[in-house]
Amino acid sequence: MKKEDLLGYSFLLPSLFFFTLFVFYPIVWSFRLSFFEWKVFNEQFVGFQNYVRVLNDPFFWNAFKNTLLYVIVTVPGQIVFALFFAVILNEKIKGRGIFRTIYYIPVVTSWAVVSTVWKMMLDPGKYGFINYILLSIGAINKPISWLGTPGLAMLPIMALCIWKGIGWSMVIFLAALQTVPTVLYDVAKIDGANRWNRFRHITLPLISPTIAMVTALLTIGAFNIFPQVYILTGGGPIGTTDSLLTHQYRQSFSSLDFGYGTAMGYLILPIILSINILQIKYLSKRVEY
Amino acid sequence: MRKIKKIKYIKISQILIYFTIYSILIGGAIIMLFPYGWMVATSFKSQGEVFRFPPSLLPERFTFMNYIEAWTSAPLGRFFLNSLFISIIVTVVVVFITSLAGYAFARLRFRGKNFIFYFLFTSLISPGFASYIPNFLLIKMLGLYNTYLALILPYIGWNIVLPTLLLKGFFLSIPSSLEDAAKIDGCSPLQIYYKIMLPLAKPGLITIAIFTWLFSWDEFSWALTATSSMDMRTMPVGMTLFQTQYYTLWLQLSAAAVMCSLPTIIFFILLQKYFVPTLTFSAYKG
Repeated sequence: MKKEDLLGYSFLLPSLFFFTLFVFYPIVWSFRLSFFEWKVFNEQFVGFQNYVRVLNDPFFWNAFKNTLLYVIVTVPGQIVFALFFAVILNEKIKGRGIFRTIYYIPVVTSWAVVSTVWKMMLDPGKYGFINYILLSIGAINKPISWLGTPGLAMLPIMALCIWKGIGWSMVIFLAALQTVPTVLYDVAKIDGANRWNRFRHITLPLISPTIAMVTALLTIGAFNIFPQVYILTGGGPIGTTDSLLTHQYRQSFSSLDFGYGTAMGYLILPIILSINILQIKYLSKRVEY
Repeated sequence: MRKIKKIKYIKISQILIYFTIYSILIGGAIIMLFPYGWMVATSFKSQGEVFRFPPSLLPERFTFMNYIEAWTSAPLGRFFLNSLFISIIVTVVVVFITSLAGYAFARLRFRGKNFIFYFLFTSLISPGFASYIPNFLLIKMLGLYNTYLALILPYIGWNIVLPTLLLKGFFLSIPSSLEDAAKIDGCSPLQIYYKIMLPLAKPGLITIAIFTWLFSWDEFSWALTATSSMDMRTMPVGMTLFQTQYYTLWLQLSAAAVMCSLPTIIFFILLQKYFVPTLTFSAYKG
């Protein structure tokens, strides 16, 4: 081996060691595991049986349906609010740095903290802050158990996801907005286009590649919704907030059904990937100007 | 005369626009900050004050009891130190080894470079949570279950790809004339990396340090899986232990939440410009 090669490999060795052991090997091994029935001392090849079990499991489909709902609500929710605030903060106004900082704080706070604080504010008693506000403006006449009522419990989780995520997308949109040539706005102004038309026909098409990327990434994030559900409801009441990952977590580490857990992972992966490809393909149309 | 009227009209509409913009921004800011205010206020309240109607926004009498209790009665101090220890080690190791890798990909010439580079992209087909299972079996097999290493080693492994890609780009953006000059002066490749490239790549290194720190400080699901005893829990997982099915110690919990978010928020305010996400770093969001 040449000296140059040796030098390169020695620079890469530590990174490759950790990558291979904790990323690459688990990918290969979990794929293998998904065809086995795993028991503590032996394992047995069962073919596609784990996959069949997942697909025939009503709890899987329930978690799948819930997760799709999370995606459908929280991804556009984050995009719309983030875009709205990004456009406002892109104006030359005083104090925009401060607002940017404030909106970004939830992004850097851990899920465990924000989920806990939200849970505290959603306390089912009348001294929970949300109930207190709604009671005092007369919107409700008795305290609501937000996290204990099937059909309601998903709402606060979605609100939390949107609240925490706005700042992240906003900062990326702000960076994209900086790249839109101001000349275009000036020309449009002379032509008499109002704010909405300038946004609709100049800003939106020009930053659509960024919107597509953000949408794809938020979708991956929303499919992986876990700590917020685990802490706020644990998937309950009666499974109405259960997400794919909370279901997978229970199956894998409470029931120690590793075959089921890995098969589920490989069933979800192509779904997420194909949704992402579609999003990027349809949202980031080439823009010419 | 007409001209003056028109100017006045523009001014009023301008003021109206600013008024609307600021109301929206301030409203948004209140919604963003309120939970933190509520958390901090609750952490200073006394037991009688939490369950009172109407709830008080600010504590009537400030008390530090919750912090003292959270730190002593529950092993919250231990959780905090565990998280601190793990996050510092992971961050230092990741910055060190990925800067080596990034530099190698950007500047060194060796056989199989492209192949190894694309090998890193296999992480794209990771089945997410399902890869926890082999990780779990591996950690058990190595006898590391419920130890610091059970968290530290996988955390390092999961923070290799994106930092390496980012640093590769960073090193590529540094003009190579500097290196050539150093080579002529007789510097070894290691010296070039250490004395010239690393100092120049400082902003990139700080960005990576921050994102790795955020990841390891916040990580929840793996820490929940790979540890089992109270003295090994990290801050995010430990916090959930304050909430059981039967009772929740809101006061200590809010004190814990303040302690858990404080280091990150301090870092954020001090090093704000490095926190700006780039799309390359997006996978850290989850």
